[in-house]
Amino acid sequence: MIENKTLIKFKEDSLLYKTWLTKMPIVIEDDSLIAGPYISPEYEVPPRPGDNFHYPLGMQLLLEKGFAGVRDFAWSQADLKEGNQKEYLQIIAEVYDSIIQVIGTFVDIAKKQKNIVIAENCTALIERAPRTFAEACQLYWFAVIFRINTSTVGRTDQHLYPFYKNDIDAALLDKADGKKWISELLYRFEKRGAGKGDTLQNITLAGKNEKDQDLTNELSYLILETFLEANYLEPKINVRVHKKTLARLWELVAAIQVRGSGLCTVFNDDVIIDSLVEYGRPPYVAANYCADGCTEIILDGVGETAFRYIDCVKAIEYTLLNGEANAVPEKSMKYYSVFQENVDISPPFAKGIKTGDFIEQKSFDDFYEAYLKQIKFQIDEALDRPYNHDESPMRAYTAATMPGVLEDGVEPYSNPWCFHTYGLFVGSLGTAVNSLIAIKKLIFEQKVISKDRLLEALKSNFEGFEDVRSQCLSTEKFGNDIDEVDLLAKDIASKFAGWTKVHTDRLGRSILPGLYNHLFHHTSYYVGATPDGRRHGDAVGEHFSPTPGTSFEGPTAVINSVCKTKTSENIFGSTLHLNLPALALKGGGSSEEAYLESLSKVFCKKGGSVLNVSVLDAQQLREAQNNPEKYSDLIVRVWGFSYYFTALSPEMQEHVITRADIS
Amino acid sequence: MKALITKIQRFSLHDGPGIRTTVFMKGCPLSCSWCHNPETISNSNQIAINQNRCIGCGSCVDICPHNCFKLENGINFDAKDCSSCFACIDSCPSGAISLVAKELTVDSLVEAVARDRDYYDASNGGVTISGGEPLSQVEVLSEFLTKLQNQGFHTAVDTSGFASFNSFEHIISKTDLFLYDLKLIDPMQHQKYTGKYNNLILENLVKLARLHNDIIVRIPQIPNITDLEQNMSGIRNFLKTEFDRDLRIELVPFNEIYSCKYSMIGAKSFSPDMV
Repeated sequence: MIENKTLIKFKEDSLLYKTWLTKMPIVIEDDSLIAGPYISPEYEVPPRPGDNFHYPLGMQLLLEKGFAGVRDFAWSQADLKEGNQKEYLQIIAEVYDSIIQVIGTFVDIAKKQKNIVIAENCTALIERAPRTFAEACQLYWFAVIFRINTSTVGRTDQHLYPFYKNDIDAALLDKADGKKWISELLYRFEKRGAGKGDTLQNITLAGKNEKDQDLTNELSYLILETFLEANYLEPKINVRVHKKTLARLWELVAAIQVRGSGLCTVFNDDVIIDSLVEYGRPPYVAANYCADGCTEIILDGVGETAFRYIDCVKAIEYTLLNGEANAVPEKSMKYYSVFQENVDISPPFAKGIKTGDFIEQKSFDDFYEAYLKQIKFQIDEALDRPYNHDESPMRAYTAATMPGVLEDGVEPYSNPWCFHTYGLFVGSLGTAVNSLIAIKKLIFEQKVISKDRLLEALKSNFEGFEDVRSQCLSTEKFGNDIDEVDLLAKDIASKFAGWTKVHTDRLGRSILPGLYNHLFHHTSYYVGATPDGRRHGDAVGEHFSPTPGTSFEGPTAVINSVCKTKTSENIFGSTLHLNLPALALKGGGSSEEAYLESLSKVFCKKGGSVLNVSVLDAQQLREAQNNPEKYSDLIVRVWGFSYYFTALSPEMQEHVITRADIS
Repeated sequence: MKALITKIQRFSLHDGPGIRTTVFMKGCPLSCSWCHNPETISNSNQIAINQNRCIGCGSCVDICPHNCFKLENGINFDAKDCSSCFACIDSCPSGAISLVAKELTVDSLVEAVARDRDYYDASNGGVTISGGEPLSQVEVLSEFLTKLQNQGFHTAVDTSGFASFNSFEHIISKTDLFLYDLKLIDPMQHQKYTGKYNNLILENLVKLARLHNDIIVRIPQIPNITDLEQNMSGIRNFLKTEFDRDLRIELVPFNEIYSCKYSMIGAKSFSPDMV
């Protein structure tokens, strides 16, 4: 059912959206195959609170029905319904009618400009669903830009392949033609997103279905090849792999990885799909997962996405100080880029709960038990209220593409045919584990530092306590293939997953846990000094990666450490950022690509779920910091996207350099 | 039986094919002036300083009976008079002083290298034993290679060639690949820069090539010493005339970043400018 209040808001917002549509610039470039603007600053609409661009449209439904088909179906279903449901469907039909009118304007301009291809394709889309690959590509770009803001796109190769194959089989298209269309589509994504950083504009390629059949197709290859040849930054590329993935795909993945800037993320189908099924998602839905705006795992075209955070590094402070936070200097910094406004930084929870006086604790077990209570407290606090649904003015447009919405006239949020991805994240676990291990060793086992002295040292940010810091630094760190450390991470990860998944969304489905922290650079500054020897402001690990600068044993040890945790259990995304020194990869007996391919394959074999590889040169990054004008095109991985190094905020630049500094 | 090991280097890409783990054994009969693993030359254990850990407290200065330590812009260590009492290690509160090598059983070595088996399998890599001169610990080397071979690891031995051929015979059948260093073809030059004449090295290579198929000859490219045309053509000529087949050759670039290792163990470092 739809409440009156919701419907009124829906109506108002849809009016606003229709106004925006009428202002869309009608751009058709000479000789282009695809109509529709990709950049137009005067048209950009600033997002409002509650807007959600983290989930893809139901692109498959849109391609099957076309804009006209959605409109007509919405009208006919509205006729069958009463009350608010009827009105809800009528609003959707009107929104789609406005969309079709906009396409009509494109037809007029195309005719004027004598662009017959665009005129014909757009005319077809006014009347019906796309039939040819060309029409499908045109619809695809319209579908993307009618979302107004950049957002995640989903499984492009799977969406478009049926059209491609039909045309190839019917000899309407050859591979070279296909490439022309793909090139034009990718060019538009690039133009729309490149240089803008966190655009959320992700596509996901390849992968298998629920019957274990490989769905990698000619378009998967064509998209990757075109992306490589054109040296693009956008759309962000994500590739799904599994045991039957062919060498050709692995080679293309490595070829993108070796460029160094972290542009291709690998997702391991063999563990991700099964885990989604364990979390109650039907196999056909689970097998259709894709990447969100960053590297979170969401479900393509069947629901919305929202996430919340807890902080396990701050929880170390709360445990040491019986629920209180270590005082840190106030800090304001950019979100990530120098072109952005300053943002205030603060932890998800300003305080913990009282878990006892650290001084009184007799053993590490006591401390660990208190720590886990701090974690559980944050989970329960974070999940004590339902997740908000998308409140963007475009939601009539997006909702219509979700399963069951047109049939039932029930909004996605409470529609049982939809599968939303609501998740809870905890990131930087490696940094928290390093701190726990330092406490275990130095305080409780070796007893070389007194509790008071450690607390004093942390309060003083180790100033005047250099000996304490040195001892803290010398304890074992996550990411070096040391079982004692890695298994502690595994235990916390598993408990976090267990305590999170008992919480459910409105439709009774589990909240999905993930080991993820895109605000790691904020964490560095809102957490004080930590018992692992980290000073206030020093880096914490991204997502489920070791603390930068502490993986002394190299990438194989990092992968081994991470894979001891069943990361697929933290299914919403437990990404490893693997950083490799550029120099070390050169001059060996095999190609750099071959080494990267081996690392990715072993990561998957060991049960890892999401891997992003960066190849970094610390010296080059320092030079770039000092002479930014010479390195204006240097791209590095940030959290779920890559961006110009010299345009990153000073704090983020430092973080990336620490990452590159591999002993 | 235990091996004296300075380092187990994972993701090692420059000592044989694929992704490898290289085990560095301590002790070498040569003392090449450019050695990039100077901590492996001595066959007994010794002290290493980690400057980054040093907090400048001076405990080592106070405790050392031979005045090996001085505090000047951080700690300075001169190993010349060190009697290996290692009292400084326990005295250091920050863990800045440690031993460069560990004694490890063959089983624990096998266990350590087996951690990366999947990477070797994926990349046609394996385990390389380097040093130092691994043949200077031939018994334990032989046992290590036997166990590696039994467990299906590809094995490579990186040798200076300066060992009795009898030592080679112990390991020929257990070694898949030899990385064989040739530095200088002129015996006098060789003596000057490594402390030993090269006749044994050249003879061993000829004998080894008759008994083993997979050998890569590695020539370090030390500026103005080994990379001179006269030396390079001399080596090429030797390889052409003394062997009935072409041996693979690899040129190993000189890397100055290793100079920090000398101060770490309290020794004077080599620089090409010294020539």
